[in-house]
Amino acid sequence: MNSQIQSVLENIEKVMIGKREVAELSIVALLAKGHILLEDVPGVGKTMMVRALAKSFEAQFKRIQFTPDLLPSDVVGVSIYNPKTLEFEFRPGPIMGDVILADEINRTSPKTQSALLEGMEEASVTIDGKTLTINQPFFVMATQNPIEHEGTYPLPEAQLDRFLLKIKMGYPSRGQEVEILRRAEHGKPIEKIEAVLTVTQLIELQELVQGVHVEDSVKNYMVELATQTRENNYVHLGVSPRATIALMKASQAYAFIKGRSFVTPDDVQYLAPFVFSHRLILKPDARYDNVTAEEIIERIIAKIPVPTKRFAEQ
Amino acid sequence: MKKSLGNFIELAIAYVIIFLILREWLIPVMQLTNTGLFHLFLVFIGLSLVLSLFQVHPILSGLVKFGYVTWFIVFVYSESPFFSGQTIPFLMHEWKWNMTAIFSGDFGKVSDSFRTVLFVALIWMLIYLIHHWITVRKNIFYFFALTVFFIATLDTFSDYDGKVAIVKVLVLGLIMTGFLFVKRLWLQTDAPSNFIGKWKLVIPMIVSVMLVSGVAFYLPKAGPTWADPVPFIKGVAGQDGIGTGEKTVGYSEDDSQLGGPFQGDNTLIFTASTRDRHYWRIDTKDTYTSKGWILSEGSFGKNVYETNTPIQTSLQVGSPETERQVQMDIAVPMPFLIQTYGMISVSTQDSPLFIQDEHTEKIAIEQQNGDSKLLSNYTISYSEPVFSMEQLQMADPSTLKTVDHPSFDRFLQLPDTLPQRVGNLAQEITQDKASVYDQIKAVEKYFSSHGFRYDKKEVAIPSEGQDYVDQFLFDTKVGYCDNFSTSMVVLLRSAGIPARWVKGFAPGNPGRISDGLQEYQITNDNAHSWVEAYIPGTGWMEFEPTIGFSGNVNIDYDIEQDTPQQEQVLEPEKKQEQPKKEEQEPKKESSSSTTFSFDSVWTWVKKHIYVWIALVILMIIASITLFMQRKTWIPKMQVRAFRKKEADWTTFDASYHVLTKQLSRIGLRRKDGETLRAFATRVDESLETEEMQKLTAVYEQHIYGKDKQEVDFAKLKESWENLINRTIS
Repeated sequence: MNSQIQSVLENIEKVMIGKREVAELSIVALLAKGHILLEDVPGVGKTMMVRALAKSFEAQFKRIQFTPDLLPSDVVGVSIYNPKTLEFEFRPGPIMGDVILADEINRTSPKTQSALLEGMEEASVTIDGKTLTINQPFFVMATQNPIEHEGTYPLPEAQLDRFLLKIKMGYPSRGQEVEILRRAEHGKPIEKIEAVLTVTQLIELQELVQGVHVEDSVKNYMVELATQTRENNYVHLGVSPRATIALMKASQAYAFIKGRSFVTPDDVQYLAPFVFSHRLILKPDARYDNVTAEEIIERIIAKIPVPTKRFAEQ
Repeated sequence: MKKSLGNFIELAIAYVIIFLILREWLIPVMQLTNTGLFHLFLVFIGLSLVLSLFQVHPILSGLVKFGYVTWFIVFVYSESPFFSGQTIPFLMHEWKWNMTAIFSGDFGKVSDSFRTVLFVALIWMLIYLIHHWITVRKNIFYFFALTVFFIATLDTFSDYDGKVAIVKVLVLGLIMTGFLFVKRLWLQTDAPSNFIGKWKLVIPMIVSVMLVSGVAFYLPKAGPTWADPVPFIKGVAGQDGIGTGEKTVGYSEDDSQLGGPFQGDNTLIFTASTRDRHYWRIDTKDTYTSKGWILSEGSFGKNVYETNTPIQTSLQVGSPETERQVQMDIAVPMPFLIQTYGMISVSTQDSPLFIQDEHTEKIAIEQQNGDSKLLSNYTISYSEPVFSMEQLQMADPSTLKTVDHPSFDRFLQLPDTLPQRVGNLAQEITQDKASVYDQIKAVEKYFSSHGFRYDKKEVAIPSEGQDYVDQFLFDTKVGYCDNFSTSMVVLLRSAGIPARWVKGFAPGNPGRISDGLQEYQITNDNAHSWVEAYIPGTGWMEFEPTIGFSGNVNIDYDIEQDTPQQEQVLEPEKKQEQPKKEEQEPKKESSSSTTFSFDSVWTWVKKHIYVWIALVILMIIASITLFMQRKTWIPKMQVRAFRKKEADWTTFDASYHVLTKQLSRIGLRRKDGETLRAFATRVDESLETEEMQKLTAVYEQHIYGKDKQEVDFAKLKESWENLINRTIS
């Protein structure tokens, strides 16, 4: 495993107990310049996780709590007239940060949602006709509460597509929860975290990730998986080519943090549920048969032959 | 002490069972080779087993065995006693003689004593092997299976009757296999050697084996579902089917017990090139015993003829103008002539003598010095007799009384036990007929109606006290030529008409035509019997009562102006018979035409057929063994092959695939959706190694990576060999 990433993970583990997978996936998204949609109930440590991550590489951490009356300008920023200078002064919104936690994204109006999502996808925002680029690194972790549905605006599929990964945090185990209590007993562990990476180093890592080799046979394998989601009987709408790209990018990042210079089908198999599940639109039959998107992806993975020879030999 | 005693008892029991199985091996070998030293060999087996059981030091044990063999040889092959001065010179002489024979390549000269020594050495080796199987591998199954195969083969293909032996071997072998299985189980579970515990497993096994085999032995059994393969194999092999095997069709000497089913046998006996269709006559029999045919007592003369001189028989000959030749090519030469009706003389290259037996009319072929001779081809000159219908009709039944010459008594003989109803039936059939010929024809035709059926399989054998003819005429009405012809002879004799039973071959299957001559191929299936009856004023004439066969008599009807309808009646009758003939034969024609085109190849193969069969069987066994053992020998070969190859990526790639293939042979198969790494983890868990993951990590880099890194191939090779060896053990 890459040593720098290792230390970031260790940092996160100081505050997050038993959530290594989530931490790893967050780093995957961060390195692949993607964003994460976290679907979970409040209080399982989402904020802590993101803050620890942000703190690990001296990044600016911002949090937006989405409410129904939140306006796009509350997210992207607003120009305010300054009587002293007789000029409009731009006040950047929270989106202009490095690491952003967008809490309960489905509580706000679609207009505000799309302001955030546009920023996520384009890494730029348009205010008063001016386009402002958001500095890298730019990492959004949006959360969505799956329990409450009243007064929410579920994200449309096109918007969901903009998240690289969708992950679930889940409750800690009994032992882990005891450990959490033990640590929370004396002060806040988050304040003890120190930066292990500079922002520049992080950007360098992002560049390195792009250099991770994806053999044609593995690309082919990814495409085959994507194609199968489009041909599945339970699926109304399969994943888009954007999803296939996302899978590749995520696989590269994952291979990188595992210290490899190439992607293996293992990476693809591991990441496919996180990349694909929120992009599938299932038919009603799936619900009747009690089949989830994750299960469909698992079945596809089990079915498609893994490439075990060099592409040219196949 | 207790433990070793337990082991000793177990081994002793195993050896007793092995001794009994080996005995079953030895019996047929002794029986078929007429060796007759059964007990001496058996003692040797016993001795070897006992020595092995008491774990006598190998040198001592070898000396004891060697001593026994020496005594054995001297006892059997030397005239002088063992402890005499002659023993050593005798042994020296034998040794010298055999060594010379062997080194000069003259294996035929090797003496019996040396063969015995070789055989003993073979037994010695076998016992050593068995000892190994029992004590080390704890698996005797191959030996067991081979024994069963051996006995079954001998039972099928030789005179040896393995009916009881196979049951014994199966019971013993099953017990032995089960016994060793228990031992293996015990070893695998690492349980302490517990004598009583083992026997708790073994005894129920033995009881159930005994119970099952006992029930199986005493239950009634259905007949074999498959036909006996021997006639077929012999047929293919072109072996002489004549006179061998009670159940095959063919010409045989012994007719004293008729009845029972027949197996088909299409061995070619001879080929005849001729313009006419002939019945092939060999000999006649005169005395009916109520079970079959034998020869009457009394003295009869023999006539000696040379080639190209007219041979006198009791049969009529046609006019010299119609003399023709039939060329006989005998595939299976026999020491007697195959005659045609109307035979005048026989010519052949050598000048043998033809000895005609007046008793049976059989004509033996002998050399000038009196030894019997086998002719493979000869030419018969014949002129088919033409019987005048007028003359035939002239002999009315009363003329039979004129035939009271004592020489005809044997053709009127009937057993005293012949049931009355046979005589009554004969009376009934013949009573209203105007002439003897009509009477005979009436009897001949009787079988074509009245519910008689031709069949080779469902044919009864008369029980004790039952008459063969009576059974056929009144009870079964199903049979083949012997039933029909014998019945006709008995019916004719009951009606007072002299008749005899004739044996030979039916006309056979017409083959190709060349030079205006039709080629007939006569196989064992054509073996046939029919009837000759005596008509006063005309003489002997042949008749064909068997359904599905048509006789071959030329009758001149030209005098019959006043009864023209008779010709019309006879005409359709002939036509009816004609298609029957064709129905019988077209099948065989096709086969004969194919044999023709591959003639030379086929005869060559035929000559060496046993070698071929043996080779094919050997090859099949070898391939099966190789296939069963492929888990072991393939990887070993591959390890050797890869050792020689240069260590590079290509070799590594190939060796990795070899490894996955070998793993799949032992049941570790990668699923389609399973990644190499997941598979490697699984393999390592199952084989308790970590090598597969190491190899896979490198392999992954090879197939998914871009730049090749430096790899320590020697180390990888070591891991690879380790893994392969794991899969074998």
